Parts: sequence; structure tokens; C-alpha cells
Amino acid sequence: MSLTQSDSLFAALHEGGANDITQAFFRARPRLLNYGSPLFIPATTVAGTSMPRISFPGVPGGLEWAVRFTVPIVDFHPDSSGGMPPPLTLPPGRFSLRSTVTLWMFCGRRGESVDRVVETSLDLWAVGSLLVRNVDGTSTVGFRVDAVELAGVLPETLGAFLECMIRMMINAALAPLNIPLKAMTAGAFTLVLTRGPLIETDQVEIWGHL
Amino acid sequence: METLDSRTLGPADTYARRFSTAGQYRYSVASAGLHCVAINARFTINITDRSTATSQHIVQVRLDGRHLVADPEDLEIGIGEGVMWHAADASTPRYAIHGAGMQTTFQSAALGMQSLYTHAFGLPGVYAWIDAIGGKLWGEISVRDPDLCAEPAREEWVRALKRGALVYIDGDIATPRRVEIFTGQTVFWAIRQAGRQGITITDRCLVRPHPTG
Amino acid sequence: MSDITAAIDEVAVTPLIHNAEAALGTSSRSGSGRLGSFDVSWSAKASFSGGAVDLIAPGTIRLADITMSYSLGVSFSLALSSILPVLCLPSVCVNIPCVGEVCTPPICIDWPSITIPTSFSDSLLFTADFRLETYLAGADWKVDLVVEGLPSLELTPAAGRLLSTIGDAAAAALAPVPFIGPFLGGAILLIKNTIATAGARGLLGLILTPFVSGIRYTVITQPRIQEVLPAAGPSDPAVRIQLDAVSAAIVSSDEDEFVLSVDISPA
Repeated sequence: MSLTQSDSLFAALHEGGANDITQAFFRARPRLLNYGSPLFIPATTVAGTSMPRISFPGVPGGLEWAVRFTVPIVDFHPDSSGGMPPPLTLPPGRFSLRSTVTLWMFCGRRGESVDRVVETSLDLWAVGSLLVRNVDGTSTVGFRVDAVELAGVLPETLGAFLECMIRMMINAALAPLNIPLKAMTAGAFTLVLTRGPLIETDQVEIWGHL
Repeated sequence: METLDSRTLGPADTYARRFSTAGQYRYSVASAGLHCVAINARFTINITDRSTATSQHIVQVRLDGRHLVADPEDLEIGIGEGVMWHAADASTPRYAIHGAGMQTTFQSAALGMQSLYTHAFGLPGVYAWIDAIGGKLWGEISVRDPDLCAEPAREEWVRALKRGALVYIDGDIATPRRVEIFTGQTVFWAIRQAGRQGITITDRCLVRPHPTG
Repeated sequence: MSDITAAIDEVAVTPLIHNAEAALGTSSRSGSGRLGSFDVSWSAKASFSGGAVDLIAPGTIRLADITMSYSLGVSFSLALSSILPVLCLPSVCVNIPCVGEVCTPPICIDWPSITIPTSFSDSLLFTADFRLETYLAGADWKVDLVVEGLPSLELTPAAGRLLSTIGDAAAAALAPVPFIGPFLGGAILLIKNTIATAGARGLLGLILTPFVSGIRYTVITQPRIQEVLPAAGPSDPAVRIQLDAVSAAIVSSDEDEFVLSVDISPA
């Protein structure tokens, strides 16, 4: 069967290419993976996003915190990651995502040494689906994480708590990553979308006409 | 283009004058741009009482280096005989004849009595000619190409080439006014009467309107 | 598998190719050659348009009935003495009353050399196969269609029209020559017969063949470094990728498709 089928134009982005784009995106805008209160990130720059402290009674100035993700690695169905932690599976038409999330918290009083910072890193797995968005008049493909699994966190309720929080955080980090459809043709063609995006055979596929 | 203009003479033209008074005439051959300027008249015509063997004498105008010369430079003719000037070949530049004797002058650029101007027509068309000096003289020559594809027409054309068309000029009157010829034929304008200023035979297209006032 | 695969079918690739033809614009050449037995100088302009697209795996695109529109300027000199008879107007005599017989001397006509300039515009259809060629030109990746071999040009009809135009040009150039009138028709016929359709066809081939032998259409031009996302503020610079490798091919299945394969990396 032809690639274009009943349409006149076909484009596909292999998971390898998707990861190249993801790398390029987060290398250019690392602040979207790095968030922290003023102790950790005094001001928003290309490198990091400054966030407010978490206000809490009895904690003068609020809680100082930070979170950082490594550049996510995307895998399109079928699963070629080497194994996902149960109960996560990669259904047809979905992508999986791997990253490492590091959390920091300052456990002292203001003015005390930063030796009072505690940190923990967790490997995260996620499964998500693609979104078609219109950004400034341009059709784009974006990523939305539907479920996150943090391996080995106990009790399970803590795991569920962290998975919920991290799912919201990773979706916020991925929200600006909107790949123009034209990029899926390496800029060669301007495609008007009629079908897709569909995930199959390790790639995202779209169909349309010029 | 076809240049019908007796003010300057080209390879298809001749100018002739009959001399009725004995004496010596000196004349010059000037290039076309200088036809109104009297330059050194170094060529001579001696008119004597003795008749010569011919009533018409031919003078060839040719280019010698950078100068126009008459050949022969000196001519002796009898009273009542004529001299005809013509270009030696197609490369001879346009010229004018300007001469004078004891009591008379003659010039090709202003034809006077006893003058003759001829022109062989090379291009078809209708040529309306006038006197560029300002007289009321006018006429029309219709020239057409023969159809040489038809045998009788070819023979007729060859015979016609030997026939000239004669137009008499009496003051402001040309007789006949309208002439029809084939390409290659020659028209003769014989001046029987002309004003003191003389006349020219000039294509109307070559004459600028005289300024009024 | 390539990072990016883009495929386009015959219907959709046709306007891309036609746009590439139009982008080529009008080419110009000049030179000299022979027109029958005459030496000529010529200048020519040509442009291409249209053509039905047929994609042929693995890497051929056939364009059938491409229209080549061209205009020529051809000029040749001719010594009329080589084609016209010697003409001497005989001595002409008239009898003028009271004067006698007056005769003009014979006038031999010196036939000049003339230049016959001809302008001719026409168009013809031809079919050609093109191969795909992908390469890096400076900062850009290009995919070109390059003509294969020498397309055959049917020139006989145009040669007939060119010969007719030359005849008209000769008539215009000869008409002002004094005394040529009676010989004009014969001279034009002689010029046309000297050139003949074969001569006109030969000149057209000499002029037009170089235009078609080197046809190259650039159907895709893409910068090697591409901006995927523009800058969104001082803390969000542009996002760029690099096209590391580009290849193009024709793939045949239940339909024929033009397939572009690209490998990318973060820039």
C-alpha cells in the first residue's frame, strides 16, 4: 500500500527524529525542565524558571524548593524501551516517555547553610497521547502525558501523590513543545492535515494535501 | 532610399547644359554639403566657333583621393553643343556643378534655361516632386515594378529601359505633369524656361516647409 | 529508518515541478552558426512550462509534452551580387526639339551587401526523463530534477515557419535596395531555397539543443539548519535542528510516490 493512500501527502516522524527535536527543544530552553524558588533559581533565565516559595505558617518566607527533569526520551508504539514498569504498558497509538526527576527542599531556616538542602531523584515512566494544536495559525503536534509511574516508591499512596504531582509538572514542561506539521516534512512541504497524527511502527504519521 | 533631388547629383542622375555663347567657362565640382558654396573653379569648358564631331560631350565625375574631379578636366566644344556630367560609378559621393562664364553662370543645384536633369528610378512608388527654391512648379512620377515572371512583361521591361520619359519645364508648368514608368527607367526634365533663381526637381518629402513671415 | 519520511503522489508533485520550471525563468544564449550556406550570428531566449508528470521507480520523473517557448534573433549578411544578375541600365536617348538627341551614359548597378535580421518566436513540445539529484549547496539542501540524455526535438514544423519568417525579413531588407524591384521575388525565393527547411532545421537544432541538454529544475531547497520554533522571549530562544542527510527517490506500490527521507540532529 502506498504511503499517501487516499491523500496526496504523507509525513512521518520516527521516534529517533522526535527525540532529536525534543533534545533540540530542551537544550535551547532548559528552563522548561528546571524550576525552583529563589534560593535555587533567583531569577528566570534561559537556564531555569524562578518560582515562588511555598507559603506555610511558621516558615518565615516560605518553603524553598526545586525540581528538575532530565531531557525526556520518547518511544512510539510498539514498545522499544526494553521494558516498562508495571502496571504501565504502551497501548497502540500512544507514546511512552522516560526521564529522571530530581526534587530539592531546603530544610533549614533562612540564613542557614545550604548544607541543609535535601534531594532525591526518581526514575519516571509515562504514557501519553498526541495533541493537535493550532499555535498562532500554525497546526502543530504536541505531547500530553496521561499516566506516570515512579518505580519503587513506598508506600503506594506516596507514590500516587508524587505521580500526580509529577504528571502535572511534566505536562507543563511539555506544553510549549509544539512541533509544526511542516517540520515533519523537514520544511519541504506545507501540509494541510486531513488525517492523523497516528502513532504506529515507531513513528508519528500524518496525511494531508498541499 | 530613392533620392530624387537635382540639388545634389548621385549615380542615377545626370546634369547637362547646352552652351550657346562662345567663351571660356570655369566650374567646380563640389560635394553635396557644399553645393551652395563657390569653391575654386578649376575645370574649364572652352566654347569655340568650330563645331566638333558630336553635339553632346560627356564629363565623368569621380573621386580622386579625397577630392571630386571632372574627367576630362578641360573640354573644348562648339557653340550650341552640350556637356553632360554623370558619376563614374556607384561609389561616387553626391556632388553639384557650379560654374560661370563671362556673363552667365550655371549650376546643377538651380537649373536654368537650356539645362537638363535626368534621374533613373530604382524603387517603386509615387514621387510627388516640386521646385525646392520656392516656385509653383510640380509634377508626379509613378514607378512600378514589372512582373518578370511573365515572359511578355520581361521583354517589355527590357525595351522600356531604353526609353526615356521627357518632361518639359516652362516656368511653373511641367508637361506632362504625370508620368508612369517601370523601375529602372529614366525621366528627363528639359528646362526651356526658368526664373532667374532657377528651379530644382526635388521629392516633396525632402523639402522643409518655408518659414512663414 | 529515517528520522523524517515525506511522500507526495503524482498529482501533488506536479505543481511543485511546474513551479520549479517557472523559477528557472528565461535562459539566454548567443553564438554563430550556419543557415544553409550563410554564416549567421544568433541570440536566443527560452523558457519551459507544463508537462505531464509520470513518477517511475526508483528515481526517474518523466515529463511529457513540456512546452519550450523560445525567441530567436538571427542575422546574416549577403552579397547581393552573388545572387542577382549584373544589371546595367542602357544608354537612354530622347529627342528634345530645338536641341536634338540627348543620351545618358549606361549606369551599371553595384549590388550592395545587406544584412538580414530576423526575429522569430515559437514554441514546441518535447518529452524528457529526469533523474533525482540531492546535494548540499552551501547552507542549503537541494533536490534537483536533472534531464537525462538529450531529449529529441521535432523541429521540422518550426523550421518551416522560421524559413517563412526569414523570407519576410529578406523581403523587408531587400525592398529598399534601388533597382532590385524586378528581381525581388526571385531573390527571396533564391535565399529561401539556399537555406531550405533542412538549413533552418539545422540552425534550430544548433540553437535549441543546448537549452534542453542541461535542464535542471530545483524542486526542493531547504536550509541545512532549520528553525523548528521561533524565539518566544528572552528566556526562550529559537529551537533549531540540523538536516544531516537528505535523499529522494521514487517508490512504487499501488501508486508511484516521490519520497523524501531526512535524518536530523539537534542543531
